[in-house]
Amino acid sequence: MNNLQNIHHSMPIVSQVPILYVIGLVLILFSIGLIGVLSRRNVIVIFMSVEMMLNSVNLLFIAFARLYGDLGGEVMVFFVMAVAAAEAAIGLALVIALHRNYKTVDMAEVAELKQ
Amino acid sequence: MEELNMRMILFYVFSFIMVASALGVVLHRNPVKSAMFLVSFFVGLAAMYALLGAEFLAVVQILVYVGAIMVLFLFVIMLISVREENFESPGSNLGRTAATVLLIGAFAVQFLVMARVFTAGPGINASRPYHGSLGQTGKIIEGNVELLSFKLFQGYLLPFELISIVLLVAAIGAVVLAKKNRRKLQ
Repeated sequence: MNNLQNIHHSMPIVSQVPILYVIGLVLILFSIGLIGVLSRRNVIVIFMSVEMMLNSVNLLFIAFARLYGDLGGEVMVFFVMAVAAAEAAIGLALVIALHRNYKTVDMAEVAELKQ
Repeated sequence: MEELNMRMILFYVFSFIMVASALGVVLHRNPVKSAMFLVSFFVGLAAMYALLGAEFLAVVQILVYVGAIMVLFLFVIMLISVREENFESPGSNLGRTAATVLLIGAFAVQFLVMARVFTAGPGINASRPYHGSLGQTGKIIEGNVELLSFKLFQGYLLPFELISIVLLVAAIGAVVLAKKNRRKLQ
């Protein structure tokens, strides 16, 4: 173990990823997911975009957990993953119910609440 | 600014993969291909987790998202007959575009604020060990998985149990929602 750690620390290049790069990447990914949610009409693609947004936030949690050396962020990622799994199960059940009743998954055609 | 080391090269490579896959998810007409791009996105994200030193969550990411959630998505996509979507929709109106532009502008402003806060940003040193709670034995624990388990089951035991109840309720709710309703009125 000790030996391995020595090898690890004596690597010639100190490998660091600047936190700002991670923040920028996360904002780009979150924005793409947001565009997907706002502009697509297929409800399954909307769900996929929501999953992308949740996952980009997870990446930010992990980056800051590593930056401050506190594992609370990784625990939070755990919980976000569990909630995302629950959300996917419920959401896809809703999609199936929607398709059974309306014969479509196009959100532009499901406008009953507007009328 | 600094020399390109291996970790930065990998960061750029996986960033490119993730951004391209995310654009593929949003821009592709066929939902099946969107799902395939989403798989690529999740794998890239797992690689990024591993790059940032969260090996356990990288494995969990592959298992949960690529293994479970994407299979669920693909099942549902195959179950209902999908059509290719045409983008010239009445849904893409001016207000929606304005909202999108506003929100992305807000994100850009937020990024600039972050750039001021983290000027000459502190780097994420993935080889530095965490200084977490090491348990009551005082034993020095190396490794992400052991530390994470200590943190999870010592500090966050009640949320952990509650999240299992959330998952149970979600599973029951999904069954109830997707079940065929025999007493339908029409």
